[in-house]
Amino acid sequence: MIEALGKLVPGVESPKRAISFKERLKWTGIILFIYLSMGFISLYGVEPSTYEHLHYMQMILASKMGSLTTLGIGPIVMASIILQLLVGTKVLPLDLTKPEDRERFELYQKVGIVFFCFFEAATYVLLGAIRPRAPDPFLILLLILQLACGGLLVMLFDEVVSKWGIGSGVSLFIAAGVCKEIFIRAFNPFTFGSEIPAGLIPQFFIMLGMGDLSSAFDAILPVISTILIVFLVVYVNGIKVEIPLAFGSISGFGRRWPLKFIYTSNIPVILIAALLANLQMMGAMLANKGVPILGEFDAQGNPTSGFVYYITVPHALILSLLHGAFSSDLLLRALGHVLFFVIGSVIFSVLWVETAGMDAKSVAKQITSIGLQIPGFRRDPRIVEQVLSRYIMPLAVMGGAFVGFLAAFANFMGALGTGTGILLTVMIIYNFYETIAYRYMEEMHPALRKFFEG
Amino acid sequence: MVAAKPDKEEFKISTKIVLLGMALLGAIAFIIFIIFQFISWL
Repeated sequence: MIEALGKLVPGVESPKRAISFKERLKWTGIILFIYLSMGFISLYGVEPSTYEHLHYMQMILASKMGSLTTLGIGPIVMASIILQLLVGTKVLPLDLTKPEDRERFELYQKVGIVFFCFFEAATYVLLGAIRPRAPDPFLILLLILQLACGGLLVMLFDEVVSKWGIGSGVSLFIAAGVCKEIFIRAFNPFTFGSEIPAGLIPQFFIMLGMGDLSSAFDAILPVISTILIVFLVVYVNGIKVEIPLAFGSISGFGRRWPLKFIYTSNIPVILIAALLANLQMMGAMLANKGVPILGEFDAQGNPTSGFVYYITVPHALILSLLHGAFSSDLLLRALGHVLFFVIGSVIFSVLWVETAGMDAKSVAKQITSIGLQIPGFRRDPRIVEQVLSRYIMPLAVMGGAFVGFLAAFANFMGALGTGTGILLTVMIIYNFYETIAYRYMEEMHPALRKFFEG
Repeated sequence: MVAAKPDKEEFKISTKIVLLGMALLGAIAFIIFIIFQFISWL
């Protein structure tokens, strides 16, 4: 039934011929331009409002509240989370190594995305996250439809990028959203009616010129922590774990097979952060309607008690600490935030190993196909698999826990684009670079190729 | 299991790539932001 529905969902056709790197770059650029532009186009009939309390959610879901990209990648990520859990717990018995099951997985995912587009659009409007300019039922319906259509467009954009472009649309939109935020917060030259420009770097120089060192420091601190987190994540992302293997034919020429320490990369963080963002959103909307099961919220939509309060962290914990506003409550929230990320990230990391074909069996196949084996053992994928299986699950757990910790910890620094956002962006850009380096190198212009070879 | 930290050269290249990518995405977004800001003043 769901499969029949899935076939009804419009999709983007796969290219029938090989497409050049240049063409892929072109499509990626076009989609990026349209996506970013949509973020600056307000919904028709929406009550203008600030969404500062949803800053974190907007970074993680590549969304811009009140615009056509209000839902961002939310529906895609929600559908993915639900399916991962269903397949991972075997409620949905799919074997993703089989092509026909994989195809079914994709159809289910499509139906899920369409469902969440309409579901999220309706909840955002009906529960008051997005308010109509007037309580007119026609306007409310129009808003829901605009949000849902925006979500569906993002789904199609994602398909265009993964089939005709480079990498995945979801990652591209997150990275672009975070970089946009960093640039606008840092460089914004407009004053918007106040005395000084909104950008932190212009502010820094003006404060410095006025001799107000303390304000200048407060302005530049987020910029500094942004840069520090970028360096930290680049470094951690480069850590590898080497498993001893040897060439089958010539003994003695040992080789190590490097696996990334952060084995499942940023996927667990995308999923757990999206879950947190959705919990906060849902909690605020439910409390607004008098059902505070996830906690209570103040007028600005910040949590003040309950479950959500103890897993979210007030922005720029480090600033509160520097200004001496320390309390045991703050410490408890920081702890809750870290725990939520670490545990969630481990769960999604383990699930992702299965769904993405990164398990011992698949990696063993890949290794033996290029003629490597474990020293002292026969050449047999099952033996490689046995050795690998000792490493891969612990690696998925440790890597997942570590990346979850880092994503939570980075949020305490008050960096531009949020700590989690920067972590995701750095890993996305690096993965993007690796994809280009492996797949499209030979097609590149020599000058560009030289750059990519480092 | 042996964990290998990235060597200096590797770290330098990765940092360069990531900063360049962020600058590129940020610059594109910033230009679009400025364009829409001017449109809103028209």
